[in-house]
Amino acid sequence: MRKTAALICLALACSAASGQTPVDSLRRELAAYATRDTVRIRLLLEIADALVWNDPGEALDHAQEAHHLAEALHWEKGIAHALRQEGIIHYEQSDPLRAMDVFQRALRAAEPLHNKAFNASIYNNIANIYSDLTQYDKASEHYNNLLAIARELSDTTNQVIAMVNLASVFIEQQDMPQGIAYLTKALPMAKAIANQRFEMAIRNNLGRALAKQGKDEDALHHFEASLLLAEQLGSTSVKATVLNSISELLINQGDYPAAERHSKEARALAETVGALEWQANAWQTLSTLYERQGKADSALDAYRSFIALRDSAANEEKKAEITRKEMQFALEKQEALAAAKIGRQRMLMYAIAGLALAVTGALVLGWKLYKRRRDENERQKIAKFEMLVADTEMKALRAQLNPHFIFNSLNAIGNCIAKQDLPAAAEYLDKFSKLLRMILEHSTHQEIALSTDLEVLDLYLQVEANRLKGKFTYEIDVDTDIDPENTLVPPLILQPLVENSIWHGLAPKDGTGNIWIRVRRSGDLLHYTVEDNGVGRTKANGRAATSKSLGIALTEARVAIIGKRPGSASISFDDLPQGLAATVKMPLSLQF
Amino acid sequence: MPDRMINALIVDDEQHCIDHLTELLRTHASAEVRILGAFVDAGEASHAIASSKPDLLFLDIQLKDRTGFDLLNQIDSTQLSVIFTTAYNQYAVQAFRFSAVDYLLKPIASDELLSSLQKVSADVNKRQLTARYEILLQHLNQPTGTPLKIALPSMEGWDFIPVSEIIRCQAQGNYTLFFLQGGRQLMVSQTLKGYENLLEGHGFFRVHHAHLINLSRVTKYHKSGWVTLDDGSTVDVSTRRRDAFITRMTMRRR
Repeated sequence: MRKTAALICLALACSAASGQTPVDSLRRELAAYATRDTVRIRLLLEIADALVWNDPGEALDHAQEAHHLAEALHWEKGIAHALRQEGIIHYEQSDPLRAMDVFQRALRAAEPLHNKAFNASIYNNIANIYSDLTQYDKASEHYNNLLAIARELSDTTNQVIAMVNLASVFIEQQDMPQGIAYLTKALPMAKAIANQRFEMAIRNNLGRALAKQGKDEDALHHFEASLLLAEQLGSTSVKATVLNSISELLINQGDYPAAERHSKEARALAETVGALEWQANAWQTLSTLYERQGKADSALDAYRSFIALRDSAANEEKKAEITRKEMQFALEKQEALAAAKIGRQRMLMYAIAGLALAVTGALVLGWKLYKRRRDENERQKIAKFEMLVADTEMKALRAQLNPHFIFNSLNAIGNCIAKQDLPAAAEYLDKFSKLLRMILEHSTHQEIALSTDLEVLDLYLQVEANRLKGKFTYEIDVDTDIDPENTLVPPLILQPLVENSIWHGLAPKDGTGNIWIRVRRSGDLLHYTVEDNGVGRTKANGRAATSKSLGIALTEARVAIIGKRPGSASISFDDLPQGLAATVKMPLSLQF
Repeated sequence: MPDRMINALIVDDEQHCIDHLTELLRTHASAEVRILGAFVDAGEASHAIASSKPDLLFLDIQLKDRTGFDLLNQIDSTQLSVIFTTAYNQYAVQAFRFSAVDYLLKPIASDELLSSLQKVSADVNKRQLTARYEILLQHLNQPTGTPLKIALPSMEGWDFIPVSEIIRCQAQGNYTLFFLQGGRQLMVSQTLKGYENLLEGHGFFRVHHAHLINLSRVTKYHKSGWVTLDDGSTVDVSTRRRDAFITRMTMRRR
């Protein structure tokens, strides 16, 4: 399209190197560099950029090689740059639709790079397409964006590009002063970075604008400078248009021979390039020239050629117009589709996010509720289990207690019989069976009334006092602030300690001893004590601190289990000046 | 003074038990009791009872292939005092206590034997014997079920009260006051603790040191710590008994 449309201004594309290195030296460098890495990609892109205007086909090959290489290396920056270069080539090959597509792919590829300047450069290239479609507002927006970013980064190249392109937009809209102002500002900057192609484009565009304003001298000056640069850069198309422009100005100045020379050269170049409109323009200029010179026949021939070519060009122009319309339609459709797609994607994303949030919330809530209930159940289970274990252990210990006592008693009865003391044996038996019944009855309970427990203990002491005639007497003393009927104790908790006092404290003692059973209250604790004035722990081998009777071991185990329940229980031994005191301390438990 | 002597027979299927009791009576009660005979066989015993008409029978519950009650059914027991003897037997003991029938646990202790003999002499123990045996047999026939009736001693003799008609019992010193269906009250000369032991396995619960209640008669429990029974009376539940009380009530409902 750019080749056929009535080109006024050259638009500048943002690219990698902006063609500052001679193509030949780049080619040599590339041939010498075989490694498939990022350096080669850069080289390929530079060559592609340098060849855009002169050999777009080769340029495209290089750009595509760079693209594939970057993909293979997973080099995001390389992919984005290669795509941008491809887009520029398509644009210069008058394939704006494909260019637009490739530029948009470049934008997507550039997303992870978060490079504002690079994005702006692609928007500039897209803006060139908008500009061709006469969508100047959109184009200006992108150009201004590029200009702002380039200024921020002190990037002269892109500032020049943005200004030249902005100027083009103004000139297209017939705002010559604004256009000229931008170009005048851009020219010294392009010179400063020694970019000849930029200078060529600026001077060409300046010449056009000035000529429109009738400033022929200034215009001619810029055209001639542009022509020189075009020759140096080998840019045929620019050369052709510039030559024709110069020719028109020379006619105005009356320099017909020079005008004819330029015009013919322009026509020849246009023919080689195959640009009908430029050929037509050249013929028109020649026709005007011949007319001025009075060469009526030549003028007529030239005019005929002009008309013929103009009609063809008009057809081309029409075709271009249709293409433009088609492209505009396609672009709008593409944009609409993209917008719809983005909208759909956004909706979908919101829906998914919302759903995910709801599901997550529900899961978290559900899990918390489930966990709370599970933990609560677990705690209850553990508590119940511990209680059960304690109960079971307790029952086992109570069951062990009885045989231990039974065999001690049977042994005592046996002793009586052996000694032929039958009344004593009978009495022992009476009390023993009564005692056994009481123990069997009460040991199934966890707790019994203190009064009952003392009754059993009393019976036991009677039995033992009878057995060891004259060995000991006993007293049972309950504090007045304790109600024996309403106070609960584990059945026979003290019995093994009493037994220990009788068998190991008093039996070995010379003369009569005494046993005191004391029940005291200390705050929330009940102190259940057996005290004797026997031989004590050190003298009697059976009472040594290290060797304990089975009964005491069982009592200690029972007390330990009571201690696991709320409150604390303990068993303690106090060595007295004469004898021993053993105390079971346990939480005071009342029945009512 | 032969008139005052108690003529006794012993029935036991184990000879050493007979020997033990004989020796005890000879040692401790030779002035009060004359032993007419001793039998290990129920059939022989029944003939001997019919012919010698003793005042007192020491009767073992377990007699080889039959029970002492079978023997009791064969004889005229109305003019006869019976002291049952048994080794440790929880259900039998409960039954004796419900029916206020005298019993001795083996091995028999001398002091208990003497106190039983004193009761035999007392007139009151000869009254309503048939009714008491009936209760005894009923209880023995359904050892784990709810007892039908309980024999409560009174001034005149015995009151036979269906257990289900007892609403509650209240401690009055060493006496127990029974509140019965229909607003009747009975004062019994026994501690509440004794009846607690007897009735706690049969739907009764001690809610307070002064109160034993029939749980099936509870109509309402107030969280502030008292219950209403179906005769409209209210009874305190002591703080320490509340949890256990609620557990018992909810267990019953299941």
